[in-house]
Amino acid sequence: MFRFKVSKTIIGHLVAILCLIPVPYVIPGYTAYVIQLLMYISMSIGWNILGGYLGDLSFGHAAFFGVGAYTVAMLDYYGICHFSPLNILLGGLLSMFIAASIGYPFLKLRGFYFAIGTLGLAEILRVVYKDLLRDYTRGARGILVPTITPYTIQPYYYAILALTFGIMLVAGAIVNSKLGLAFRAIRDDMDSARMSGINATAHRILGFSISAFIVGVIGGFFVYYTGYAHPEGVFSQVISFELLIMVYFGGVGTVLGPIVGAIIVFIVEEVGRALIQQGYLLLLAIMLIIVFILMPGGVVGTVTKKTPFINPLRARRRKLIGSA
Amino acid sequence: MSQEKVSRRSYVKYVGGVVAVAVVGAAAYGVYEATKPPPAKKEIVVGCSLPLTGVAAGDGAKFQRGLQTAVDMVNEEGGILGAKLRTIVYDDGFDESKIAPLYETLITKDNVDFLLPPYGAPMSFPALAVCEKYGKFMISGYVGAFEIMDKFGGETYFAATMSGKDDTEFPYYTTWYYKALSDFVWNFDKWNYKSGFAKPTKIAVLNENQFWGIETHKLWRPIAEQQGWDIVVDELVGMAQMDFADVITKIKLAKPDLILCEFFFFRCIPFIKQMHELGVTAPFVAMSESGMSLDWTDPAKGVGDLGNGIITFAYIPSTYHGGRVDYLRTKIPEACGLLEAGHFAAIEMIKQAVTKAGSVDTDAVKKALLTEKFETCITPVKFDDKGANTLWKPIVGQWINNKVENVWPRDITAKPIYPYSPPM
Amino acid sequence: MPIDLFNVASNLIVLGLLEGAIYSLFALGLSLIFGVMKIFNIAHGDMGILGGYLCYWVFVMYGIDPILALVLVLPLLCLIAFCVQRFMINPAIRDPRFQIIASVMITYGIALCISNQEIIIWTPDWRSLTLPYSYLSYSIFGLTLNITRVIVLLFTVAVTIFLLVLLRTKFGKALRACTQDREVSMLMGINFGKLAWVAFAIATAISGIAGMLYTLSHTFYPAVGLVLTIKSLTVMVFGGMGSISGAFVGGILLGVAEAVVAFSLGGEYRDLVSFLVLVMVLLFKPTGIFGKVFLVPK
Repeated sequence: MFRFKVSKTIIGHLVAILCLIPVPYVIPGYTAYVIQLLMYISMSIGWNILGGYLGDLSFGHAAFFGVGAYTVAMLDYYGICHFSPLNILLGGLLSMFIAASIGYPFLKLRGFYFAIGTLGLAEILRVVYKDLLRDYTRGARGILVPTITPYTIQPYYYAILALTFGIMLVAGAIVNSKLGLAFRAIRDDMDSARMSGINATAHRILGFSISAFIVGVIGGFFVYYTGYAHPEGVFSQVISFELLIMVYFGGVGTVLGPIVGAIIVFIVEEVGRALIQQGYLLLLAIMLIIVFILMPGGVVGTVTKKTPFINPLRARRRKLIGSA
Repeated sequence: MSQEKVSRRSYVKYVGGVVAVAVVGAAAYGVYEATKPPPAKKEIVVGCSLPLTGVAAGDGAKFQRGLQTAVDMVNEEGGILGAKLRTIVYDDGFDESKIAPLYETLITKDNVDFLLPPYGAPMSFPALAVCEKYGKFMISGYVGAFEIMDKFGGETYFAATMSGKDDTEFPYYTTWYYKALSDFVWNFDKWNYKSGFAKPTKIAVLNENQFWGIETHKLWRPIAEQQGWDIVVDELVGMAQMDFADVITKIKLAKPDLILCEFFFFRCIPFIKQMHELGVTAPFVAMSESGMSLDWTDPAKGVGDLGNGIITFAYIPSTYHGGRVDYLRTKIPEACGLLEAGHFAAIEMIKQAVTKAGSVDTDAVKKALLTEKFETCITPVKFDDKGANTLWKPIVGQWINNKVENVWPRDITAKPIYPYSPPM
Repeated sequence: MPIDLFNVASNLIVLGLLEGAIYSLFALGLSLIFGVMKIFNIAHGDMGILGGYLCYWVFVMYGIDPILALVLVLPLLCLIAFCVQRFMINPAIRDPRFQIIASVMITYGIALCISNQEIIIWTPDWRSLTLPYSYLSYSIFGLTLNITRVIVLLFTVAVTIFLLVLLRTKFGKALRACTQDREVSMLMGINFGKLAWVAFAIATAISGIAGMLYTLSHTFYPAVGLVLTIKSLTVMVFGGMGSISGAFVGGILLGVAEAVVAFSLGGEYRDLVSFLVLVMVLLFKPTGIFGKVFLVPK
């Protein structure tokens, strides 16, 4: 279905990853920050596959994060399996399964309605794990997952580094392949794509599943790293919103956009929280507004003057919307 | 098409170059930092995270205020062992997923000497897990839950307001958040002083859908069996729920003789208002966990008659003058509930423990905590080997006519006046 | 016993109905904005609650009854609406291809800005209005209704009538024309830009009234705005976009459905009802019950 091309993008990513290898030894105090940042980068890339390449915006991606997280937590808590790579994989697979099974009805909704639908999905899953299944998931008390003893941060760091690189590879492979082309065609004009013989529904379900898998895997890793899963924490709307703003700020639909956006927004958030406390969410919201008014392509899109969504130069021309 | 490839290639090179330079720069800086000789011990650092933004920001601000008051007090009086006390407070936004990285940062990057817990049991769990990883401990003047003491008590967690096991007939020593309230329920008959009020047979039980609410919720059945009660309504109420029409309707249908609800105070008031609105007449006992600062939030202001009967747990009874509570009262006169006093008491304990241990070494201080006695603004403290306070003698108060009357234990107080019907 | 059950159940349903009345009001405004500008205003609920907070503030600071405070608050709200529309929404929706998504994202950003400002100014603590007459209750047909609920009902009816009357005026006809076909209306000489912001201001004013009613009858906090927006969105889609009677009926039905679900399953499931209804409607009957205007394709 798609061929694996080693493009310059992949080489660039590899170089960056190699530079990040010595972090726990060189700047040990910041390792926790970098782990968080890598998690956000991976999730942003995952979101972008659905939202950027395929054009189906998801306002509730935390749903899959939470499913992955709880799968790992419950497998560990009930002693079914303690082998972490397998648990994380199963977390991702369950997320993927959920995406694939609700994909068909959900994908009948387009654009905005799909977005609201995913928001609803996150809320529904949160209540399911918190109340409906509270006898199995311990409800609002959450699940503790023991971390490795004696504790060192290196294994966790290299695990997320490897995961991030893998996810970058997957995203890069999709972009350069026939699959990626099909995705972009569906995004730009679904009817023409259908007429060209692309099975739009199957492709969209595939994109949805891949995106869900990626975010589910990161959710599983999150539980191992922080040691605790709680329904309000892992299904939180804040996670969904942060992904949204990271990708849009960086440049939705581009390859580097989610990465750049994640880095910038993460830094702004941490610095903002330290300096202006209450106001940092306001700052993020203002950034979101500015993106849509001034640079709809995000940082990457505007810099490269090539964005799949909105050409900022072309949009300046007055349309028949009238002035106010 | 080829133009795209060129721009992408050069863009990748550009970004890759920037990343490489940045990382090399960071590496160089890191090496510099790591090889710098450590500064002499001129200060003691206490770290924690608080919800400074988000839905609990009001409470977070109160915690911070109490903490800052304590730190200022300690520094005014010469610090601890001659070293100044400093705090590092991060904002967790009341988001569980941020706790673990923040506490990890506090321990590994900021190298704090002591840690305080975040706000609430669900938030404390991940923080405790992180502390356990690094062999650090947390000390607290306000939070605890049965599971926390079981898993972490005495090693990673010390709570001044959790009472230890003893030989009372009530076996669930800390599964209720407050020993007094558990005793109240267990010895229910002794509380009924209102004449003409018959012993209840059918009760409605309401808890909040969060950590200790769920723990408490599981307990009602054995207690009900022991008391001979029939539980006719048994509900968990959502944390964001302020409209209780559905629950109250169920209560109306089931016609219990008594409603026992264990809510935070600010939830009790809307609940009572709605009971009144829907015409529910069963006597209720609302047990609030919010301590004595009853002007906590708007819904409680001017609450008047509606608040009558609410049983609230007295963190700091007005008759108590131990520790530095008088200092706290002068600095923050309108408060003295758990929010302000919690971290204040923790700082008091840290100061005394470090002074007694003679150093900030974790093991030495832990040993001091387990063996010595302390005075705090909330209660005198003597930890048992599970980190619970054997000297914790909580007092229960009942809100009557805009005043809190102490109603339990019986040996220090005079007038229990319960239960109350909502005003009609 | 059966009569008892009936009494209790009917009380519950009537309360649900009156909850739904507030949803209807919000939905009316949302529908108006969507019909004219073809955008979804996610900040709608937040702007309404802002109005509620402002009325609360006036009451706390000056002792003026919140209902009377509307006289001061509504013009301010309209001014804010104008600024938001002129400087933030319009520049973002220039490209018609991405109008919906851009409007959604920008109004989402605005909603967050508003709720964060509210947190900064009024703290995230729960708040409630206690007025001198808050404890008056009426007994009608064996049902007990608090006066605030009655006020809600009166206002909802008043606003609905106002809108129905407005649509018969010249302005109203211009509104309806723009809803159906913008370009032709402009060719007919209607100043669309001016009409758009007047409609937006009216819609925001309506949501301000609804917000005030919400704060009057509930305990509220800043995050409630987004929840209300989702619910009013459900009502709008369920009732049919651009249909006033649809919004009215839909809101009431949603309120009753929520009351029933909350009673049978538990309070935690209440907010899910609107999501489920929304998704079901979109999957099976996207035009809604009284649908006149079709969804904008993509």
